[in-house]
Amino acid sequence: MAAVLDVRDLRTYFHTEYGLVKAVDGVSFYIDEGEIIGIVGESGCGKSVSMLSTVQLIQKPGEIVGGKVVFNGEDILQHEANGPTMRSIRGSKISFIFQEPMTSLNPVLTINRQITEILELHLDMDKHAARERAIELLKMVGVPDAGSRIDDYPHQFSGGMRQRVMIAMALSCNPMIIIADEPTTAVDVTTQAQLLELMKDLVTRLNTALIIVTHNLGVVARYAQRIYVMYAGRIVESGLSEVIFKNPCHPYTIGLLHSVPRLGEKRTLKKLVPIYGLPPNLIDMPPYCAFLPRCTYKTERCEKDPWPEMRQVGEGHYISCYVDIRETS
Amino acid sequence: MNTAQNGIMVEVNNLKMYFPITRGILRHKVGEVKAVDDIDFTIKRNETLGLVGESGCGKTTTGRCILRLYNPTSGSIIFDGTDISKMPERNLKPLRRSMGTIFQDPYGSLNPRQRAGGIVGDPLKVHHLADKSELNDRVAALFRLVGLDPDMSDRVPHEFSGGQRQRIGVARALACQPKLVICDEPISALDVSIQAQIINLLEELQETLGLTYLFIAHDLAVVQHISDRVAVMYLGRIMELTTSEELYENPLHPYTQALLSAIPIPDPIAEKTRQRIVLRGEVPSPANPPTGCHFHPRCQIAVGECSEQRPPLRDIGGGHYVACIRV
Repeated sequence: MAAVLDVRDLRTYFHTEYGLVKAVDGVSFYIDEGEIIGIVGESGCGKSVSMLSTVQLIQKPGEIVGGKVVFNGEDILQHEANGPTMRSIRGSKISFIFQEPMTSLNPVLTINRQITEILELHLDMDKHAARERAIELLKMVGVPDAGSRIDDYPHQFSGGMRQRVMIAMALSCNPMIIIADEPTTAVDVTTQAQLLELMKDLVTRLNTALIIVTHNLGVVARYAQRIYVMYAGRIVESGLSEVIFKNPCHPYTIGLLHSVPRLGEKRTLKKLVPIYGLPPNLIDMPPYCAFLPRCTYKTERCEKDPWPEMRQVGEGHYISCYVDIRETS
Repeated sequence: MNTAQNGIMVEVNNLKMYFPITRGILRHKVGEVKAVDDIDFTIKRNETLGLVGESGCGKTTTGRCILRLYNPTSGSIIFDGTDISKMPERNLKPLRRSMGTIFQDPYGSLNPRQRAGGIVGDPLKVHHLADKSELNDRVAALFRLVGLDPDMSDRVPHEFSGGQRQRIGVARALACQPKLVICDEPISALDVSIQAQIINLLEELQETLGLTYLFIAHDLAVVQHISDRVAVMYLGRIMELTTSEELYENPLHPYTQALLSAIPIPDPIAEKTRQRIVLRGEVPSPANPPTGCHFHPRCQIAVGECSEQRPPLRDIGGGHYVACIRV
């Protein structure tokens, strides 16, 4: 199967008054047709910026300074950000679902207007056909009474329903890829389960590739086939989710997995092991591994050598670390 | 004084907290939001009671009633042997000394213009627990207690990271040596790698200081980890209350079962075989809750009777309480 999106060595820097922030610093990932992948990391690790960079949704002082984004066999970073090609890709072939359903819907337009706008723009539908299609989409994502709710405004919907509308909008042009950026962080767990199951069913049925960007390890474990773990603007570990959760090899991934409580694990049996210290300030980063100050496995080499390149440790399993943890532990 | 002796810190009986919905210039009452609708529970000394539920289920309101930040509509709250639910305002100050609160938002709950040392020292001044000469020492001791460097007490909140700010919040809550600490979503605003630091800190402090916690959160995995017993709330009522092991191993209420199955666990292999209950619909409005059992419209095992009568929270053995007629 060919990769539908192949991002190579993507770099997005922000020129701030305090210094250069390398928000995304050499990120590579790919996604196959109909695949579900997860991108995991804490806030500020660059996961959202790398997603936005793939479709050049980066504003000043940010700048995409390098890399390739191969979509359908073509490097789309070559196209002008506001040119017709990028505009025909964004929202149509690659669409987004954002975290905040409240702020990502326009509060003064009806749901009808917001969905039909996309259909009229990208698919050249007339008003009537677009409305029919919009109602169909709302039914598909499980908005009850779609025929009349379509004329409501976003504030008349609950948080979960708004996120369903966002899913409908993302699906409206039969995209090849949907990028869901923290799609369920703002909703309750039972709603989260509803939305994620819905998304999974829809993308499987429509053979759409789905990128789930989240800080929730459970969500990626449940839905993603492959995982990329990000830290300080780089990918530190990637591989099949079964492999990564069973046999994590990067100290950060190991730390992350030990620091979240699991259902049914009581403290008397197992104490959490936090990752000490803080995520780094991305301004003027040191040349060596950014996780070094918090790492419990560090060696002398880590302080001398530059940030380690990704190396293979198993089938399709890569880490960016000099230390072979299975040996040392 | 009976409850004080048998090791119970807080006893809540038939607690109701209704908020009026008003309309018009005259603000006449047109309805009520039953945020907390007749609940009972106890918190034993030196234990952690977890209160879990989705947003709007009344868990924060319950905590605020115990703190007497709200005047409960009815019911009693017996704190350390005294009923505080109807205590007049002027008597509340000494009461609040024995209760601390840790809030969710480490950004919004600290005064951005006040120095960290002042934030932590204020409760001591308000309650006249330390005179000027001692104050700095007491504050420094509190800083050390929560793992902060006392030299940082001259800084203002924005100079601290999220995790450090929450440590300031913990130090402030502990300043007056409270017996009970109400932790209202203390870690949900923090980054994943920092959450464990705060959870461990809270656990260590409980051991060393013999604290009693009411731990309010929506994340069942975290609540279960830290709590001895857990109460599951839904639309203002307690659906199930039992020890955290029992809640995980033998959840009886259909809502608890759905809640547990909705939480994804970080283990793809276990995830493949896990049973998933996806609830229908959404949480109804507490201003207009369903009749009978509040959960019945979304329940998979509901029968006709469920919509008629409120199921009582009954002990089915070994301190496992369930409010469901089908169990």
